[in-house]
Amino acid sequence: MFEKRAQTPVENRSYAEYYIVFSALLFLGTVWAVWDEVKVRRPWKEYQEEYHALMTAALDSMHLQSLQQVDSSRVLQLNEIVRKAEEGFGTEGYQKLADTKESLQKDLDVETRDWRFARSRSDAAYFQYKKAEEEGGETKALQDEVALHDADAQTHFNRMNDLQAKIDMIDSSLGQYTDAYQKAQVELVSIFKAANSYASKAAKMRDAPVEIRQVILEDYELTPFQEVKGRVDRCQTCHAGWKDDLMQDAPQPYTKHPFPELLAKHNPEKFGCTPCHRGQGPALTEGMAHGPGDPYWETPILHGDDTYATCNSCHFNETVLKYAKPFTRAKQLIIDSGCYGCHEIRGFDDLPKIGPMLNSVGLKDQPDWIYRWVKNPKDYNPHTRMPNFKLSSEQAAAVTAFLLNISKSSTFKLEHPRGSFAGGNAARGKKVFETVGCQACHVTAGFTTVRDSRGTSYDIAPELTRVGSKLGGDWIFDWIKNPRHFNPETRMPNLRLTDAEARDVVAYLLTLKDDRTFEKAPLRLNDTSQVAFGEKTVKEFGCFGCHNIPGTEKEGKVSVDLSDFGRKKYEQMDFGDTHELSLADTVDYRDNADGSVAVKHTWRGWVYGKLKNPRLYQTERIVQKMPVFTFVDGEIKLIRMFLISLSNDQPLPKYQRVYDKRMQDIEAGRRLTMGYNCIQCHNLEDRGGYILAKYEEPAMGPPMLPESQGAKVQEPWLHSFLEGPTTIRPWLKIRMPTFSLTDDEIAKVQRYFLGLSNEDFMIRDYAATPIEAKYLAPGKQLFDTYQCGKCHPSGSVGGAVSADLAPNLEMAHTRLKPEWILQWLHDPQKLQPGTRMPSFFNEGQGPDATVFGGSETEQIKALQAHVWTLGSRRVVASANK
Amino acid sequence: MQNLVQIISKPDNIPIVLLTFSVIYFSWLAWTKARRNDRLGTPVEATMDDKVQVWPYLVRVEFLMSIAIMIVMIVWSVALNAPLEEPANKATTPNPSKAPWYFLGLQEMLVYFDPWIAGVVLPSLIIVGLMAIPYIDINEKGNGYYTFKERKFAISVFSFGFLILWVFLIFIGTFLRGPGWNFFWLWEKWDPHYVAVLTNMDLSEFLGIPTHLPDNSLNPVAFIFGAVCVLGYYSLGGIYWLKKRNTDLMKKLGFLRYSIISFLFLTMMGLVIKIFLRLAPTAIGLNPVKYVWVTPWFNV
Repeated sequence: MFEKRAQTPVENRSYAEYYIVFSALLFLGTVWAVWDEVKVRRPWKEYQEEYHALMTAALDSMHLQSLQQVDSSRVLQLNEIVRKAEEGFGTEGYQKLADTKESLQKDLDVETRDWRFARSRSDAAYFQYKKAEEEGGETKALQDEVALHDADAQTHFNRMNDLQAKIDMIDSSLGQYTDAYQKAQVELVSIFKAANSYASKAAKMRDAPVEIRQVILEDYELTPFQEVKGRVDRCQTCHAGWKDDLMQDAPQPYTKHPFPELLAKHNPEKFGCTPCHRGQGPALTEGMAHGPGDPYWETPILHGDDTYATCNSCHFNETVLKYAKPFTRAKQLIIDSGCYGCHEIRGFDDLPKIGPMLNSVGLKDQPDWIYRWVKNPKDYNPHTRMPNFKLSSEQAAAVTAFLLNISKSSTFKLEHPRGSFAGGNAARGKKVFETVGCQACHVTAGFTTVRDSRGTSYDIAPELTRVGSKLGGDWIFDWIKNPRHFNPETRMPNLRLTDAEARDVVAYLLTLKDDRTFEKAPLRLNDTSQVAFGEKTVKEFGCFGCHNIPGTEKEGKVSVDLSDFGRKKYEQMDFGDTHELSLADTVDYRDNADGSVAVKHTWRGWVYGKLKNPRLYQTERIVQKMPVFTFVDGEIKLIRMFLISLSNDQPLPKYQRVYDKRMQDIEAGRRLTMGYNCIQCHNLEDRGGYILAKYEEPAMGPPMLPESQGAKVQEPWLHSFLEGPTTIRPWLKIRMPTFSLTDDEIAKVQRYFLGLSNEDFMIRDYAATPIEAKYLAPGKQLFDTYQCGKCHPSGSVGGAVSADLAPNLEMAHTRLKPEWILQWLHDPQKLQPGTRMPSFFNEGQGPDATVFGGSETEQIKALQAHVWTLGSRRVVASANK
Repeated sequence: MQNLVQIISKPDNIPIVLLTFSVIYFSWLAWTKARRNDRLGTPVEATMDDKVQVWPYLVRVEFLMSIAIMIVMIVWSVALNAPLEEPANKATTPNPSKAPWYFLGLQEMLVYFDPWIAGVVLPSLIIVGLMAIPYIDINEKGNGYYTFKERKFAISVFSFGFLILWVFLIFIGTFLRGPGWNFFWLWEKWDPHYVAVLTNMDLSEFLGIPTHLPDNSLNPVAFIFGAVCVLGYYSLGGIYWLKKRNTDLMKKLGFLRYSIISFLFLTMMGLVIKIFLRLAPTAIGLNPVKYVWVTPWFNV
């Protein structure tokens, strides 16, 4: 066989060079692969090392700082004491004692061991004895053995005690040498405690391991195929300093999180980071983790205020988030603009239509005016919330004909005889208009303070600058006397004007004329084809999204469902005739000098353009019906932020805040108070109170409603106050209007306030609040000493006390909750920041030490008791029983 | 141009770029060798005497090559990341949705046929046809050496089927099919908003025979017309048989082998004819042909 092989052809060529070259390349390739894997693809290692270095440096400097703060003269003294004591340790007397103690200690150790052994023998023998006893065997010998061992143990124990007593005696003799030394040592340790703690932290940081730090969210969300899926966030591997105060000013990625108050509720150790910030959690390189490095990652990191978008994935039911102001503002903006009238948006399904009902509009406005309004509302009122539908003249005329046709079946009749409005004085009317509160919602020429303080591009109620040319005196008189008469759904409240005041206001409003001239509108009001065309136009453009219009009750929302809009791809969007803006540009939208518009071909660019001008992407072929709003840049960005959030991605319930009864109560109250614009005057949950900008002195404006409002006022009082407001602060010119709330609505407000202050609704008899008689006299004394009466009147309400700037205390026992009075006296600023009420007590002591020894608790109780009796004799009587 | 660079440099497309060059190179190599042999009359391979033992002479070269391939794989895997895309989502599918590169030829066929023909019948026929080659190829020449002259029919048909209908369609699918599976030239930008003309008509409709009756049921006249066209096309093979059945070649082949060859060949050419019917009419101002034969079960 081998001979045969030898005969076959042999290849003599050598492949040695190839082999050497290929092997070398393979080796290099392997080295490269390892280097790439360990170093190049793991930049986080360097970040973490840098973080450890930064932290070590910071801790070291804190260490040095606290060393500098040490009282060095005291340290020198102590060191001297220590040194002297150590000298004493060298003397013969000390040595002798110490040696004796050492030998005794050795003996003690031996005795202790023997004692333990004897105990152990006894235990073992006892076990054998018990076992024998149970089995009925011979027990006597075993019992003796146990006794023997016990006696042995006792002997050792006695010797131990003797030795210990001797050692204690030596210790007390040693005390003269060691006491001062030990004391000095303890004090030195406490002096250097802070410094040493920094040093040990620094040492720990120096040796900290470099490792991936991850948060695993199990069962976090659903995949597009409805399977439960977890999430892994490794952001903290690089962003390691997110909770270190020392990293407050450190550069990224080591910076401390700027909003610890948000983290208190969303602990990143449980929630991770991507649920709020988005980005690719498991990725460990910047480009991949943040998004731009991975064009296929669908949820790149959100920047700036856009981050608040993700609040909506869990808090879609809520309209106010305390620590997410931009989110609250975006939601308010969308509610004010009525986007949900045409679009289906999650979280906005039970809100009222934002426009007035149009059943009787023909009895209010002139046809010409309606025509001009429908054609372009911004022409009459540039800040109206009604957007411009850009209807043609024919369409506008037809809509006018349709609306007037509807009004023909209206049953509205004036409550007062025609002409009742006449005879008012415009100057007096202006004064009433400016003081009673009309200006909280209505802008007139020259007074835009409230609009400016709201900061929105639109008004919440019609501007009245040109109202004199729009409305007739009879209608205005009827309206301001009782707005619900014309429109039972209106949000305009009744300011309880007298007939005379109302006439004056009408006279004033009629002076506000539109001084422009208009062409006659091309109206054919009785033409049925016009009415039919008008109806078709109304249905096409979805006017019923905002207005209740008879005949359109069954129509659905006219525009697209936005529930997954945030995930729409730019390929699915049409950019019309706009130019493409480079992705490198700093803005998403640009008006070119030649009048054309350029937008970025991205989701963000498209949305910006759409909100800036909803007809922007209209072409000859593509008709668009969304009306033109006049949002400003900030508003567009807020709405866009909210739109980012609209997707079906949301965490599973266990990661969401429970939308419990209390939350539902609070939310119902928020929507109601937003609907009636309570926040226009009252600062509620840190928003609103816009009219306060009108007053130099905040106390002259409507009071803020703190979150503790529910704990403050009695439920029956609040109910009757909302039903028919009474005067609490007689110095105010502005009036709390009568909103004619239903009992159900009042209950919503009650539960809202109670929910905010974490209280439950309870039926209580406040009149039966017990008052201890021992507090009455001291209470009166303190009331005078602390001069409460200087600001708080306590006589009959109204009259000469209007100069005072605090509520009348005679109302207290029917208005305030007794527990609240206690808390209020303790710290008024805490309950109502900015109040003028002074705080009398400091660290549990009142200034007047003669009453109850100055005890704060007792004095407050006394004051409460006194206040409770003011204006109420009955309480005193019951207390004396 | 930027678009082209982007497509070429996509990690998914690296194999196709390599394929394009390697297929051209090896085709050229085979072609030149075949030409040389044909010119000489005696194949060069017949005179060569370079046979060696597998062990160790072949194995050592294979070992060297395995090292080389490992080097290439290491460099490739370190330099280019895996082409992962977004998580699958049935609500938003990628646009264009492309099959794995080796199936792009099949996907291209979907443009011209209904899924049943392009996705089931034709791929099965390709496999069956390849399996049938040893049984229907009775030409003993060309074994162990390159030649064209001695195997004109076999090499032409295979080259056409493989190079044009398989590799070239993959090339088209990779480089020339953009969003919406619309056709873009190499230098054109893949515009997701591109609007294509959609005016396809069934062949019968060119003659005024509507495919569907007003009640949306199939028009039997159109059905019969389509059947005649398709069956008539396949009967070309029979006519050729009748004409040539007495030649030596046909006698050697026999009727069964001839029928199989004729069926497979006509089916392959049918694909080309269908592509032609779809593309050519627009050049002379007519509408593209949608289907030749519409049946309730499949469309040709």
